[in-house]
Amino acid sequence: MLREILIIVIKKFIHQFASPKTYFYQVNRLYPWLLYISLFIYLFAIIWGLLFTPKDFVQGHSYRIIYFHVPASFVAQSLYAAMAISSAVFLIWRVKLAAYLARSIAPIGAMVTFIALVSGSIWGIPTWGTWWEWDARITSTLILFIMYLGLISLHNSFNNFDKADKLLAYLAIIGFIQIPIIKKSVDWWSSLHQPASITISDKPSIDPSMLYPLFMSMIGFAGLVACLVILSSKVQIYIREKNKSWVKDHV
Amino acid sequence: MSNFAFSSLSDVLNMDGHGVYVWVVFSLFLITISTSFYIFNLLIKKYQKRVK
Repeated sequence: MLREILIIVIKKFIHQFASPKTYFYQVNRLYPWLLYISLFIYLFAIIWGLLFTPKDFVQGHSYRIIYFHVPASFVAQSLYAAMAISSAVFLIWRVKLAAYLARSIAPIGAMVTFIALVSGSIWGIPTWGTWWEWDARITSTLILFIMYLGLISLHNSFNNFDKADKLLAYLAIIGFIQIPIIKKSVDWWSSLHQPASITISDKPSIDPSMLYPLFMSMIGFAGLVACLVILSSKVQIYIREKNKSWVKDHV
Repeated sequence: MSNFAFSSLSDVLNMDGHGVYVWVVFSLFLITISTSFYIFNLLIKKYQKRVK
């Protein structure tokens, strides 16, 4: 009995939230809260990290780039995972909102991966003495950036949204193999990158005075990127649903 | 929260010679994120006009 009620509630929730109209109105309500809270958290973390954390005894002050580079790298990979999940939902349950979301995530993912690559290159100059090295982590992240650009170009090259959505979904799912490769690249191959400092199983190897602002910057940045995904998804809804009466009523 | 890590404003900017890297990344971050928000808001306005 309880199981049946649960299934009905989940189905009702998915059915309601899968509608672009419901999604549009819900995210419109959520957006200002998410934006201001994320902005506050991120600014607080950046001020804390840049000005109030002690100097690293090996890297000096250059380690402060961590408060930009690590959130960007983490979010770049998470966005790809979100895009692959949306694509799977679209292909399995034919939820068109999931296709809109997958397409919306791609440009944001490319932008965030670009930040991760450039901030990493700049960090490499004082730390490694070079701005670029074809090591596994950097090369796999560059491939992730190219994949994002490729998915955007591929989708834009079709006039038929249905075909474009399906192809993007298949390729996004196939490309997901890249994410564990990026994650494990520092363990599998010799690399200039240090192994992961924060893992689920072990105690973090970063001092708490540096770790707390890092966690906050990751949360704040993820919130800001979520706001960008909301804006991008609204653009997709305006493009795809422009003939629907509720869109005209809303505008 | 720890104590303030620098003794003066020039220390904050210089960061023992690493300031140039840190502040360039900070500026890049700020410009990229704010430009993205600006562009998406502009796109929303553009498509809203088309719907009208």
